[in-house]
Amino acid sequence: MKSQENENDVRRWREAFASLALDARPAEGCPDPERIWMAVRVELSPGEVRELVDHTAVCPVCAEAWRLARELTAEASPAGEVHGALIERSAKSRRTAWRWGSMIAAAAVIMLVTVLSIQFDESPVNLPGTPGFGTPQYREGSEADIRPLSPADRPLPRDRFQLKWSSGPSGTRYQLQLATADLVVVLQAHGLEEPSYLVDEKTLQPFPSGTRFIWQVEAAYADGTRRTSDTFVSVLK
Amino acid sequence: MMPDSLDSNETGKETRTLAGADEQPGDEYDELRLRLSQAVRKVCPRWLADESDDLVQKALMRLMKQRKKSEGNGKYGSSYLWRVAYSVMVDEIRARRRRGEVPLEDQVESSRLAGHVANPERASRSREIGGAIRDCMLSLVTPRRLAVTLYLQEHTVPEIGELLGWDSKRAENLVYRGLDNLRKCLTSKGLNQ
Repeated sequence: MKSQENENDVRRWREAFASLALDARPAEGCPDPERIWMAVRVELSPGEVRELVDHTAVCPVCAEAWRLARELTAEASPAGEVHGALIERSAKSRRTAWRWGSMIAAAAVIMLVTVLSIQFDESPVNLPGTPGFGTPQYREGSEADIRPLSPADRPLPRDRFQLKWSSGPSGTRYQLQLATADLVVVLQAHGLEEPSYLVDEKTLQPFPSGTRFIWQVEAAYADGTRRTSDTFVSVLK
Repeated sequence: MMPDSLDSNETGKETRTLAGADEQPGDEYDELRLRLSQAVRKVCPRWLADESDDLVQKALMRLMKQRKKSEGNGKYGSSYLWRVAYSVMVDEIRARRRRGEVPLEDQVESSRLAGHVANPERASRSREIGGAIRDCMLSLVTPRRLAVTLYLQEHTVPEIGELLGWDSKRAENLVYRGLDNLRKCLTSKGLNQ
Protein backbone atom coordinates (compact mmCIF):
# COMPACT_ATOMS: atom_id res chain seq x y z
CA MET A 1 0.00 0.00 0.00
CA LYS A 2 3.01 2.20 0.30
CA SER A 3 4.04 2.42 -3.29
CA GLN A 4 2.73 5.00 -5.69
CA GLU A 5 1.47 2.24 -7.92
CA ASN A 6 -0.59 0.75 -5.15
CA GLU A 7 -1.96 4.13 -4.17
CA ASN A 8 -3.03 4.70 -7.74
CA ASP A 9 -4.72 1.32 -7.79
CA VAL A 10 -6.64 2.10 -4.62
CA ARG A 11 -7.67 5.51 -5.95
CA ARG A 12 -8.94 3.90 -9.13
CA TRP A 13 -10.78 1.19 -7.22
CA ARG A 14 -12.43 3.72 -4.94
CA GLU A 15 -13.65 5.68 -7.93
CA ALA A 16 -14.90 2.50 -9.57
CA PHE A 17 -16.64 1.34 -6.39
CA ALA A 18 -18.36 4.72 -5.98
CA SER A 19 -19.38 4.82 -9.64
CA LEU A 20 -21.63 1.80 -9.13
CA ALA A 21 -24.14 4.08 -7.41
CA LEU A 22 -24.66 6.20 -10.51
CA ASP A 23 -27.20 3.93 -12.12
CA ALA A 24 -27.98 1.61 -9.21
CA ARG A 25 -31.33 0.73 -7.69
CA PRO A 26 -31.77 0.05 -3.97
CA ALA A 27 -31.35 -3.62 -3.12
CA GLU A 28 -33.75 -5.78 -1.16
CA GLY A 29 -33.50 -5.32 2.58
CA CYS A 30 -31.75 -1.97 2.63
CA PRO A 31 -31.30 -0.85 6.24
CA ASP A 32 -32.96 2.19 7.73
CA PRO A 33 -30.78 5.23 6.99
CA GLU A 34 -30.64 6.04 10.68
CA ARG A 35 -28.85 2.76 11.29
CA ILE A 36 -26.23 3.66 8.71
CA TRP A 37 -25.83 7.03 10.39
CA MET A 38 -25.42 5.37 13.78
CA ALA A 39 -22.99 2.79 12.42
CA VAL A 40 -20.72 5.43 10.92
CA ARG A 41 -20.74 7.24 14.26
CA VAL A 42 -19.82 4.04 16.11
CA GLU A 43 -23.09 3.99 17.97
CA LEU A 44 -23.82 0.37 17.08
CA SER A 45 -22.09 -2.80 18.19
CA PRO A 46 -19.31 -4.19 15.97
CA GLY A 47 -21.60 -7.08 15.06
CA GLU A 48 -24.30 -4.71 13.86
CA VAL A 49 -21.75 -2.62 11.98
CA ARG A 50 -20.37 -5.72 10.26
CA GLU A 51 -23.84 -6.67 9.07
CA LEU A 52 -24.38 -3.21 7.58
CA VAL A 53 -20.93 -3.06 5.99
CA ASP A 54 -21.49 -6.45 4.39
CA HIS A 55 -24.67 -5.07 2.86
CA THR A 56 -22.90 -1.98 1.53
CA ALA A 57 -20.33 -4.24 -0.16
CA VAL A 58 -23.02 -5.36 -2.60
CA CYS A 59 -25.52 -2.46 -2.45
CA PRO A 60 -24.13 0.67 -4.18
CA VAL A 61 -27.05 2.82 -3.00
CA CYS A 62 -26.37 2.03 0.64
CA ALA A 63 -22.64 2.40 0.01
CA GLU A 64 -23.46 5.89 -1.25
CA ALA A 65 -25.50 6.57 1.89
CA TRP A 66 -22.57 5.39 3.98
CA ARG A 67 -20.18 7.77 2.19
CA LEU A 68 -22.60 10.64 2.73
CA ALA A 69 -22.83 9.89 6.45
CA ARG A 70 -19.08 9.60 6.70
CA GLU A 71 -18.49 12.89 4.93
CA LEU A 72 -20.99 14.66 7.14
CA THR A 73 -19.61 13.21 10.33
CA ALA A 74 -16.05 14.01 9.36
CA GLU A 75 -16.99 17.50 8.23
CA ALA A 76 -19.02 18.38 11.28
CA SER A 77 -16.81 16.92 13.96
CA PRO A 78 -14.28 19.72 14.36
CA ALA A 79 -17.00 22.26 15.01
CA GLY A 80 -18.83 19.93 17.35
CA GLU A 81 -22.05 20.21 15.39
CA VAL A 82 -22.38 16.50 15.07
CA HIS A 83 -20.93 14.37 17.84
CA GLY A 84 -17.67 13.43 16.27
CA ALA A 85 -17.36 10.28 18.32
CA LEU A 86 -15.35 8.50 15.70
CA ILE A 87 -12.44 10.82 16.14
CA GLU A 88 -12.40 11.75 19.79
CA ARG A 89 -13.74 8.89 21.82
CA SER A 90 -11.53 6.21 23.25
CA ALA A 91 -12.26 2.63 22.32
CA LYS A 92 -13.42 1.88 25.84
CA SER A 93 -15.91 4.69 26.06
CA ARG A 94 -17.08 3.87 22.58
CA ARG A 95 -17.90 0.33 23.50
CA THR A 96 -19.78 1.58 26.54
CA ALA A 97 -21.61 4.00 24.30
CA TRP A 98 -22.71 1.36 21.87
CA ARG A 99 -23.92 -0.89 24.65
CA TRP A 100 -26.13 1.95 25.87
CA GLY A 101 -26.91 2.82 22.29
CA SER A 102 -27.96 -0.71 21.44
CA MET A 103 -30.32 -0.80 24.41
CA ILE A 104 -31.79 2.54 23.41
CA ALA A 105 -31.99 1.42 19.79
CA ALA A 106 -33.78 -1.76 20.80
CA ALA A 107 -36.26 0.27 22.83
CA ALA A 108 -36.67 2.67 19.90
CA VAL A 109 -37.38 -0.21 17.54
CA ILE A 110 -40.06 -1.55 19.88
CA MET A 111 -41.58 1.93 20.20
CA LEU A 112 -41.43 2.48 16.46
CA VAL A 113 -43.13 -0.82 15.67
CA THR A 114 -45.81 -0.05 18.26
CA VAL A 115 -46.41 3.44 16.93
CA LEU A 116 -46.47 2.28 13.34
CA SER A 117 -48.90 -0.47 14.24
CA ILE A 118 -51.22 2.09 15.77
CA GLN A 119 -50.69 4.90 13.34
CA PHE A 120 -50.80 2.92 10.13
CA ASP A 121 -53.18 0.26 11.27
CA GLU A 122 -54.74 -0.02 7.84
CA SER A 123 -51.47 -0.63 6.04
CA PRO A 124 -48.90 -3.40 6.26
CA VAL A 125 -46.02 -2.68 8.61
CA ASN A 126 -42.56 -3.81 7.59
CA LEU A 127 -40.88 -5.55 10.44
CA PRO A 128 -37.22 -5.05 11.34
CA GLY A 129 -34.97 -6.83 8.90
CA THR A 130 -37.51 -6.75 6.10
CA PRO A 131 -37.38 -4.45 3.08
CA GLY A 132 -38.76 -1.01 3.79
CA PHE A 133 -38.73 -1.39 7.56
CA GLY A 134 -39.71 1.89 9.19
CA THR A 135 -41.26 3.24 6.05
CA PRO A 136 -45.00 3.02 5.55
CA GLN A 137 -45.96 2.05 2.03
CA TYR A 138 -47.24 5.02 0.11
CA ARG A 139 -48.64 5.36 -3.33
CA GLU A 140 -46.27 6.93 -5.80
CA GLY A 141 -47.49 9.29 -8.41
CA SER A 142 -50.81 7.79 -9.40
CA GLU A 143 -52.86 10.19 -7.28
CA ALA A 144 -52.78 13.94 -7.44
CA ASP A 145 -51.04 15.68 -4.55
CA ILE A 146 -53.24 16.65 -1.64
CA ARG A 147 -53.66 20.42 -1.77
CA PRO A 148 -55.06 22.74 0.89
CA LEU A 149 -58.36 24.40 0.02
CA SER A 150 -58.65 26.45 3.19
CA PRO A 151 -57.69 30.05 2.57
CA ALA A 152 -54.03 30.47 3.41
CA ASP A 153 -54.06 34.24 3.10
CA ARG A 154 -56.57 35.05 5.83
CA PRO A 155 -57.10 33.77 9.38
CA LEU A 156 -59.92 31.37 10.09
CA PRO A 157 -62.54 32.36 12.66
CA ARG A 158 -62.64 30.45 15.91
CA ASP A 159 -66.18 29.20 15.33
CA ARG A 160 -65.53 28.16 11.74
CA PHE A 161 -62.01 26.86 11.84
CA GLN A 162 -62.57 24.46 9.02
CA LEU A 163 -59.64 22.80 7.30
CA LYS A 164 -60.30 21.67 3.75
CA TRP A 165 -58.22 19.84 1.24
CA SER A 166 -58.52 18.40 -2.23
CA SER A 167 -60.43 15.15 -2.33
CA GLY A 168 -59.22 11.76 -3.47
CA PRO A 169 -61.16 9.10 -5.37
CA SER A 170 -64.34 7.63 -4.00
CA GLY A 171 -63.75 5.53 -0.92
CA THR A 172 -60.75 7.53 0.27
CA ARG A 173 -60.45 7.97 4.04
CA TYR A 174 -58.41 10.71 5.61
CA GLN A 175 -56.40 11.19 8.74
CA LEU A 176 -55.72 14.72 9.90
CA GLN A 177 -53.07 15.88 12.27
CA LEU A 178 -53.07 19.40 13.67
CA ALA A 179 -50.23 20.86 15.67
CA THR A 180 -49.05 24.15 17.03
CA ALA A 181 -46.18 25.87 15.33
CA ASP A 182 -43.76 24.36 17.82
CA LEU A 183 -44.99 20.90 16.88
CA VAL A 184 -47.17 20.14 19.90
CA VAL A 185 -49.92 17.94 18.51
CA VAL A 186 -53.33 19.46 19.16
CA LEU A 187 -55.52 16.77 17.67
CA GLN A 188 -55.68 13.82 15.38
CA ALA A 189 -58.80 12.83 13.51
CA HIS A 190 -59.06 9.39 11.97
CA GLY A 191 -61.37 7.77 9.48
CA LEU A 192 -62.64 10.99 7.94
CA GLU A 193 -64.77 10.37 4.89
CA GLU A 194 -64.93 14.00 3.78
CA PRO A 195 -61.93 16.12 2.73
CA SER A 196 -62.56 18.67 5.45
CA TYR A 197 -62.59 18.98 9.21
CA LEU A 198 -64.18 21.53 11.50
CA VAL A 199 -61.99 22.01 14.55
CA ASP A 200 -64.11 22.27 17.66
CA GLU A 201 -64.15 25.69 19.26
CA LYS A 202 -63.40 24.12 22.62
CA THR A 203 -60.18 22.70 21.25
CA LEU A 204 -59.13 26.15 20.11
CA GLN A 205 -60.06 27.87 23.35
CA PRO A 206 -56.59 27.81 24.91
CA PHE A 207 -55.00 29.46 21.90
CA PRO A 208 -54.92 33.23 21.35
CA SER A 209 -55.81 34.98 18.13
CA GLY A 210 -52.97 34.89 15.68
CA THR A 211 -51.90 31.39 16.67
CA ARG A 212 -50.43 29.56 13.72
CA PHE A 213 -51.29 25.92 13.34
CA ILE A 214 -49.67 23.46 11.00
CA TRP A 215 -51.60 20.52 9.67
CA GLN A 216 -51.14 17.51 7.50
CA VAL A 217 -53.45 14.99 5.89
CA GLU A 218 -52.86 11.35 5.17
CA ALA A 219 -55.14 9.80 2.58
CA ALA A 220 -55.87 6.06 2.63
CA TYR A 221 -57.11 4.95 -0.75
CA ALA A 222 -59.55 2.16 -1.39
CA ASP A 223 -56.81 -0.09 -2.78
CA GLY A 224 -54.91 0.11 0.50
CA THR A 225 -52.21 2.56 -0.55
CA ARG A 226 -51.60 5.86 1.17
CA ARG A 227 -50.33 9.31 0.50
CA THR A 228 -49.25 11.99 2.93
CA SER A 229 -49.64 15.66 2.14
CA ASP A 230 -47.13 18.40 2.73
CA THR A 231 -47.68 20.46 5.86
CA PHE A 232 -49.99 23.45 5.63
CA VAL A 233 -50.37 26.48 7.85
CA SER A 234 -53.62 28.04 9.04
CA VAL A 235 -53.91 31.00 11.38
CA LEU A 236 -56.54 31.46 14.08
CA LYS A 237 -58.43 34.73 13.81
CA MET B 1 -48.00 17.49 26.61
CA MET B 2 -51.54 17.25 27.95
CA PRO B 3 -53.19 13.94 28.63
CA ASP B 4 -55.39 12.61 25.87
CA SER B 5 -58.97 13.70 25.83
CA LEU B 6 -61.73 12.99 23.40
CA ASP B 7 -63.19 15.50 21.04
CA SER B 8 -65.77 15.26 18.33
CA ASN B 9 -66.66 17.16 15.20
CA GLU B 10 -69.38 17.44 12.64
CA THR B 11 -68.48 14.18 10.97
CA GLY B 12 -69.10 12.31 14.18
CA LYS B 13 -65.71 10.65 13.90
CA GLU B 14 -63.64 10.20 16.99
CA THR B 15 -60.74 12.52 17.40
CA ARG B 16 -58.01 12.64 19.94
CA THR B 17 -56.82 15.86 21.48
CA LEU B 18 -53.25 15.50 22.54
CA ALA B 19 -52.28 18.94 23.64
CA GLY B 20 -53.59 22.40 24.02
CA ALA B 21 -54.13 24.47 27.16
CA ASP B 22 -51.23 26.70 28.05
CA GLU B 23 -48.70 25.63 25.45
CA GLN B 24 -47.96 28.49 23.09
CA PRO B 25 -46.05 28.17 19.86
CA GLY B 26 -44.14 31.46 19.72
CA ASP B 27 -41.36 31.51 17.15
CA GLU B 28 -40.15 28.00 17.80
CA TYR B 29 -41.53 26.65 14.57
CA ASP B 30 -39.64 29.24 12.55
CA GLU B 31 -36.48 28.55 14.48
CA LEU B 32 -36.85 24.81 14.08
CA ARG B 33 -37.56 25.20 10.40
CA LEU B 34 -34.50 27.40 10.00
CA ARG B 35 -32.27 24.92 11.78
CA LEU B 36 -33.65 22.07 9.74
CA SER B 37 -33.17 24.06 6.55
CA GLN B 38 -29.53 24.53 7.49
CA ALA B 39 -29.12 20.83 8.18
CA VAL B 40 -30.84 19.85 4.93
CA ARG B 41 -28.70 22.28 2.94
CA LYS B 42 -25.64 20.73 4.49
CA VAL B 43 -26.55 17.18 3.58
CA CYS B 44 -28.29 17.87 0.29
CA PRO B 45 -26.46 16.81 -2.90
CA ARG B 46 -26.50 19.52 -5.53
CA TRP B 47 -28.77 17.51 -7.77
CA LEU B 48 -31.44 17.57 -5.06
CA ALA B 49 -31.06 21.23 -4.14
CA ASP B 50 -34.29 22.23 -5.89
CA GLU B 51 -36.17 19.88 -3.61
CA SER B 52 -34.73 21.21 -0.37
CA ASP B 53 -37.98 22.91 0.71
CA ASP B 54 -39.90 19.67 0.32
CA LEU B 55 -37.21 17.83 2.21
CA VAL B 56 -37.40 20.32 5.06
CA GLN B 57 -41.16 19.72 5.19
CA LYS B 58 -40.64 15.98 5.34
CA ALA B 59 -38.06 16.38 8.06
CA LEU B 60 -40.44 18.59 10.03
CA MET B 61 -43.18 16.01 9.81
CA ARG B 62 -40.82 13.31 10.93
CA LEU B 63 -39.91 15.40 13.96
CA MET B 64 -43.57 16.01 14.60
CA LYS B 65 -44.28 12.30 14.71
CA GLN B 66 -41.35 11.77 17.04
CA ARG B 67 -42.57 14.57 19.24
CA LYS B 68 -46.03 13.09 19.39
CA LYS B 69 -44.84 9.76 20.67
CA SER B 70 -41.99 10.91 22.89
CA GLU B 71 -43.76 13.67 24.81
CA GLY B 72 -40.49 15.53 24.57
CA ASN B 73 -40.11 19.22 25.17
CA GLY B 74 -39.56 19.96 21.49
CA LYS B 75 -35.93 21.00 21.95
CA TYR B 76 -33.77 19.20 19.47
CA GLY B 77 -29.99 19.06 19.51
CA SER B 78 -28.11 19.79 16.33
CA SER B 79 -26.90 16.22 16.04
CA TYR B 80 -30.45 14.93 16.14
CA LEU B 81 -31.57 17.38 13.48
CA TRP B 82 -28.65 16.34 11.29
CA ARG B 83 -29.65 12.72 11.70
CA VAL B 84 -33.23 13.46 10.71
CA ALA B 85 -32.11 15.55 7.75
CA TYR B 86 -29.71 12.82 6.66
CA SER B 87 -32.38 10.17 6.99
CA VAL B 88 -34.93 12.12 4.95
CA MET B 89 -32.28 12.76 2.33
CA VAL B 90 -31.30 9.12 1.98
CA ASP B 91 -34.96 8.10 1.73
CA GLU B 92 -35.36 10.60 -1.09
CA ILE B 93 -32.22 9.44 -2.88
CA ARG B 94 -33.37 5.83 -2.62
CA ALA B 95 -36.84 6.70 -3.93
CA ARG B 96 -35.37 8.55 -6.91
CA ARG B 97 -32.88 5.84 -7.68
CA ARG B 98 -35.68 3.29 -7.46
CA ARG B 99 -37.60 5.30 -10.08
CA GLY B 100 -34.49 5.92 -12.15
CA GLU B 101 -34.83 9.69 -11.80
CA VAL B 102 -31.21 10.64 -11.22
CA PRO B 103 -29.50 11.79 -14.42
CA LEU B 104 -25.81 11.01 -14.52
CA GLU B 105 -24.84 14.55 -15.38
CA ASP B 106 -26.54 15.83 -12.23
CA GLN B 107 -24.30 13.79 -9.99
CA VAL B 108 -20.98 15.33 -10.80
CA GLU B 109 -20.61 17.36 -7.63
CA SER B 110 -18.64 14.44 -6.34
CA SER B 111 -15.10 15.23 -7.39
CA ARG B 112 -14.35 11.52 -7.37
CA LEU B 113 -16.81 11.03 -10.19
CA ALA B 114 -16.39 14.34 -11.96
CA GLY B 115 -14.45 12.74 -14.78
CA HIS B 116 -17.34 10.46 -15.61
CA VAL B 117 -19.27 13.07 -17.51
CA ALA B 118 -16.25 14.62 -19.18
CA ASN B 119 -14.87 11.28 -20.25
CA PRO B 120 -17.50 8.65 -21.05
CA GLU B 121 -14.86 6.08 -21.96
CA ARG B 122 -13.28 6.44 -18.56
CA ALA B 123 -16.71 6.24 -16.97
CA SER B 124 -17.50 3.06 -18.79
CA ARG B 125 -14.17 1.51 -17.83
CA SER B 126 -14.64 2.58 -14.23
CA ARG B 127 -18.04 0.96 -14.00
CA GLU B 128 -16.68 -2.19 -15.51
CA ILE B 129 -14.01 -2.29 -12.84
CA GLY B 130 -16.64 -1.44 -10.22
CA GLY B 131 -18.73 -4.42 -11.23
CA ALA B 132 -15.67 -6.64 -11.12
CA ILE B 133 -14.74 -5.33 -7.68
CA ARG B 134 -18.19 -6.22 -6.43
CA ASP B 135 -17.88 -9.73 -7.85
CA CYS B 136 -14.40 -10.16 -6.43
CA MET B 137 -15.52 -8.96 -3.02
CA LEU B 138 -18.01 -11.80 -2.86
CA SER B 139 -15.18 -14.25 -3.19
CA LEU B 140 -13.24 -12.80 -0.24
CA VAL B 141 -13.60 -14.28 3.22
CA THR B 142 -15.94 -12.14 5.27
CA PRO B 143 -13.43 -10.30 7.51
CA ARG B 144 -11.34 -9.29 4.48
CA ARG B 145 -14.45 -8.26 2.56
CA LEU B 146 -15.54 -6.02 5.43
CA ALA B 147 -12.09 -4.49 5.77
CA VAL B 148 -11.75 -3.82 2.04
CA THR B 149 -15.26 -2.41 1.77
CA LEU B 150 -14.56 0.18 4.45
CA TYR B 151 -11.14 0.93 2.96
CA LEU B 152 -12.73 1.59 -0.43
CA GLN B 153 -15.16 3.87 1.41
CA GLU B 154 -12.09 5.88 2.45
CA HIS B 155 -11.95 4.87 6.09
CA THR B 156 -8.49 4.71 7.60
CA VAL B 157 -7.13 1.51 9.11
CA PRO B 158 -7.62 2.75 12.72
CA GLU B 159 -11.21 3.72 11.88
CA ILE B 160 -11.82 0.29 10.38
CA GLY B 161 -10.54 -1.31 13.58
CA GLU B 162 -12.83 0.86 15.68
CA LEU B 163 -15.88 0.24 13.55
CA LEU B 164 -15.47 -3.51 13.34
CA GLY B 165 -14.16 -4.11 16.84
CA TRP B 166 -10.65 -5.15 15.87
CA ASP B 167 -7.32 -3.91 17.10
CA SER B 168 -5.29 -1.88 14.62
CA LYS B 169 -2.88 -4.71 13.88
CA ARG B 170 -5.67 -7.07 12.87
CA ALA B 171 -7.42 -4.37 10.86
CA GLU B 172 -4.22 -3.55 9.00
CA ASN B 173 -3.57 -7.21 8.30
CA LEU B 174 -7.07 -7.78 6.95
CA VAL B 175 -7.01 -4.66 4.78
CA TYR B 176 -3.61 -5.61 3.38
CA ARG B 177 -4.56 -9.21 2.61
CA GLY B 178 -7.97 -8.22 1.32
CA LEU B 179 -6.51 -5.70 -1.11
CA ASP B 180 -3.99 -8.29 -2.25
CA ASN B 181 -6.83 -10.75 -2.94
CA LEU B 182 -8.74 -8.04 -4.77
CA ARG B 183 -5.76 -7.18 -6.95
CA LYS B 184 -5.24 -10.81 -7.91
CA CYS B 185 -8.92 -11.25 -8.67
CA LEU B 186 -9.04 -8.15 -10.88
CA THR B 187 -5.85 -9.20 -12.64
CA SER B 188 -7.37 -12.59 -13.38
CA LYS B 189 -10.24 -10.73 -15.06
CA GLY B 190 -7.81 -8.57 -17.05
CA LEU B 191 -8.91 -5.45 -15.23
CA ASN B 192 -5.85 -4.35 -13.30
CA GLN B 193 -3.94 -2.64 -16.08
